[in-house]
Amino acid sequence: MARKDYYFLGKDFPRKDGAARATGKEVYPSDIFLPGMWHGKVLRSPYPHAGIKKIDFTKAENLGAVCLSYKDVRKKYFNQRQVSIPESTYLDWQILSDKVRQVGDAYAVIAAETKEILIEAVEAVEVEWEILPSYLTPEDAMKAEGNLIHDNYYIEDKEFRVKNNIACAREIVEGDVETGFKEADVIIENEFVTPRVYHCQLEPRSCVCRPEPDGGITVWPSTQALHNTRILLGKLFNLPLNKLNVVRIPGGGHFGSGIQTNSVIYHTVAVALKANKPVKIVMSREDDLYDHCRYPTKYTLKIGAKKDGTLVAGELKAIVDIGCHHIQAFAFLGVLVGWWHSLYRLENMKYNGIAVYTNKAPACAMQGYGAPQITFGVETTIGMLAEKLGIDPLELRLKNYVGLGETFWGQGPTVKSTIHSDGVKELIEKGSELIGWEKRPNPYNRKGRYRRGIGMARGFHTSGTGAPVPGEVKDYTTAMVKINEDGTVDLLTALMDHGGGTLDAAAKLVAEELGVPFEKVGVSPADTRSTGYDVCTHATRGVYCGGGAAYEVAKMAKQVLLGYASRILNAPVNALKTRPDLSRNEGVVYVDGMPEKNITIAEVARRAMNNDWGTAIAVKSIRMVNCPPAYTTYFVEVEVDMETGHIKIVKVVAGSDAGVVINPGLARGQLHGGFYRGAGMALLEDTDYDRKTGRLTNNGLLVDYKMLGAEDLPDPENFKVIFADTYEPTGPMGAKGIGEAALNPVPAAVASAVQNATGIWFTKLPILPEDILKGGKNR
Amino acid sequence: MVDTKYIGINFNYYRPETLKEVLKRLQEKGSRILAGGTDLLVRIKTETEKPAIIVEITGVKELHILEMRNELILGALVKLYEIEKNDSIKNTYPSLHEAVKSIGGTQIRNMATLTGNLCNASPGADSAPPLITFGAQVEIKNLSKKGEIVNRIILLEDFFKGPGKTVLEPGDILTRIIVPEPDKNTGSAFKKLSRVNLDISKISCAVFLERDGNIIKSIKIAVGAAAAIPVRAFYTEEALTGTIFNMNKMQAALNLIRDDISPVTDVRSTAEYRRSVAPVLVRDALGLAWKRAGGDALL
Repeated sequence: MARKDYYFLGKDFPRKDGAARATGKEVYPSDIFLPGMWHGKVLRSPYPHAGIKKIDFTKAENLGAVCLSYKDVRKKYFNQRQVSIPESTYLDWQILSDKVRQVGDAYAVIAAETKEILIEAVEAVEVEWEILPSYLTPEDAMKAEGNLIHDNYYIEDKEFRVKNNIACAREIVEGDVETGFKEADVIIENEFVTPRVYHCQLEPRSCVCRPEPDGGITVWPSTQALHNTRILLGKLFNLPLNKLNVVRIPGGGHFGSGIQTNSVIYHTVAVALKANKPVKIVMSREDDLYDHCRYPTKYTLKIGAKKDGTLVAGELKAIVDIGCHHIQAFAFLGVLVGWWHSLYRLENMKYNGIAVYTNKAPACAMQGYGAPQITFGVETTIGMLAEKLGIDPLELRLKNYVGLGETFWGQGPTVKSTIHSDGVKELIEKGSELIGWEKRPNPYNRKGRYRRGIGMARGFHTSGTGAPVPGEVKDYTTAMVKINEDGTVDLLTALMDHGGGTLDAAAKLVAEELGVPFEKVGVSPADTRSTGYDVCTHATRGVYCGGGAAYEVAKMAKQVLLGYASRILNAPVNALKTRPDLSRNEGVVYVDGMPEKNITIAEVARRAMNNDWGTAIAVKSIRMVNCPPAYTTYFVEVEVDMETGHIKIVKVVAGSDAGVVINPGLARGQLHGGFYRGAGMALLEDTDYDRKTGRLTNNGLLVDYKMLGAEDLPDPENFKVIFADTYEPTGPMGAKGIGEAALNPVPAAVASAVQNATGIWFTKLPILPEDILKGGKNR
Repeated sequence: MVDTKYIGINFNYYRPETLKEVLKRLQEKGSRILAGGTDLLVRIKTETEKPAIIVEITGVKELHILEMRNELILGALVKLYEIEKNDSIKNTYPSLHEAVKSIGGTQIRNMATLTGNLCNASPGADSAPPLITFGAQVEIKNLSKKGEIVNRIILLEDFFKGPGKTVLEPGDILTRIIVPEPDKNTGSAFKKLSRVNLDISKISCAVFLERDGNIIKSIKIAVGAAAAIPVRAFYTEEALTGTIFNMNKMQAALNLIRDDISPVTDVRSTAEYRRSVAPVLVRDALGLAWKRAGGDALL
């Protein structure tokens, strides 16, 4: 059961960074101007696959520019992403290579004192190319025998030869699938296709680097992972970490695109070191559109069920187009099966996933990390099974879902833990009532131009990648909590806030535990010199793991504080408690049972200093040993114009089981945001490449990368958010994650509503008006 | 690769304050007019255009004219938001108002000019179909060999020559748009389909009709983004003219729109889709225009 007596949790406060963000005074990487700073630019390939025969910087250098090509940088291979353990990390990147593998691939980096010189210098670079055959689909790529995109990759120091452009593969079998399918009364099999969505974070990826007089560097990057960025830069540039400081700076959103150390970061460092000048590189939107995308998937999913609705067997075969580099393809193949495995119980299952190189921008994690992709197919199949079996789709889900007490795969097959909190039933019951599930029409006898339909889907995301036994993924966070001499508190952690309020949540947990007013807890500026390691703010781990670390360390700092207070109040530590006294705006230490015997935390801290006892401070690295699922359920109503194919979203009921909700307003915002991007994936967002030129058909221009706008979404009064009343016993004060869960079931839920309106089961996303008209005619 | 953060070309820049000076500058080779900049700057940044001379015309006072007495006069510098915020235009020319309001976002409409939308000559220029149905004319000026300002006026319908192409010759400037006053018992409407609300049309349609009791006395239909230029739908117009307005009996006439247009497949939609939805769009616009003309839309 949830604890209800929190002072600050579950209540809304102004964000600590709200004023700066709202008034335009926040400083993002692109806002940094350092004395004597130069400007840099990365030169990018016009060809999808080509070797560099000759590159001549003479004219550019004569203009005063500093230039770099593959000849000027370290050759050794690496991976931009440092989240997985080395044994599962595939190395196929170089700082600059002697060949380009996609349109938009970097082949040179240039910096100059002014932007004017820079542009002239860029124009003055001369390159001779050797055009190679290019592969823009996995099917084409797998046919190739020679002229591969990569001839080899490395794992640690071991070299592996690439065959047929296959980057990696994974197979997992549990139980006996053949026998399982024999037991099935109904089997449904379909091919599903999900789009190549672009992150479209507000701020294109950027970096500023300043070489320091002691030979070190200071770096202000857009990133989700300060420490991994430092560690990678240390390796690439042979710099000791104590001379390499990576500074936390607010980012304009990431959606997963900053988990890895993006190329612009090491390109900036490389050119800054060569120029021995501070250099800033801000990618253009076009560069950014050629830099990353969500993993597009194509898979066959076969699921068998008995007449009573029990699922008995499943088989999944997936092909993932990863673009021209590994970022986390191997891990992705793992989570794809992990999410599938954790949606519904399947005793017999077989999985086969292949990741294929193509001459396109490298795919990487994006909000949901494979879960929206696979949830679309699984939830659609569940809907089809329900229809065929004549069972209510909600009942079928409740019968088979993986819930309380069962095993959850939080990050593929090596990160597993037991589920301790489960709000699925509550969310389905409340959500179905609010949307009017009973009024759901029969999709097959509809008439008229405008047809309404109600659909639903459920899903989840993990809260972090912790597990009892460490798996393929690193996961811990270091926090420091310090009680200042006036009773205020400093929280220091390398956690990042992507906009969802993660740092506010961590500060709130500290305030709640210490018993000081929320506004007295400040979040300190952070850099890699002053903070301990944090793996990365990804995997919906900010509140659960990052907040969890802050909470545990606050407990430790509190013990130090109570030790000092015990001397003053002349009472044993275990008789002392703290609480915020909101009338005095102070934190107070008091003797339990004798509330009149109390002293403010400020007074304790002051006396501790004046008596030379010390500061109440604690620092520790904390690893969570669970990865609880944050469940979400979406009910959606749409109206389809059968004559134009236009799909209008009429109403949404978003249900979230985030455990104890820390920032309710911001949590609701996460669900609105998750729906917005999920609906975009269902109805609109996609990128495609021209087979002849190898370029994006949108040419890297946002005018042809469409996203939903406010006018395309339902009015706020028709967007209801509900939270399950759950308490996660392993989480900080009952909390678990929310961010990616907010998106995961959305594409499936929208497709389900469209099916209910039109009678058409779509298995390919996005569902465009053009498809509605065709599907309508085919039926 | 294109990089829209930079303007990577050099050009001479002028901002004359009289029309004559503008016309003189326009006689120089490689000159381009800058008004709102919402098309020209994009073209320069995407390197689809590399002008040697940019002539900003915002200093010429007479080009700011917006006047509505009998006819509507819109100077070359009238911005989209001026039309959007003008209630007289909204009441008298509802289809023009609807079309203008559907173009771009607020920031774009605050900068972009109506004349620019026409001169850019996109087949999908949303302002073109309603203006064509109202029988709008455009005034074009240039300098004669003797250095005198020469004037010509043509129908907007004859202005477009192809995607990005108009009758404008080097040295020409479109100075004003003249829209005749609609007769009584007329109604107009504009409809479009796009990927999202804030977007360029997949296909658009404007209808302007005159009602006589329950008969469509006359009708003009123009379709955007469905051919190389915004086109009049002559077959459909002919089939509907003089008929009794009855939605249930007009489908055959509406389907003729498919003969009036010649759509292509592009990044926004397919030719097949455009052909398929064109009658729907015309029907929707027709119904609304009929209602605005005082007719009973339920017929």
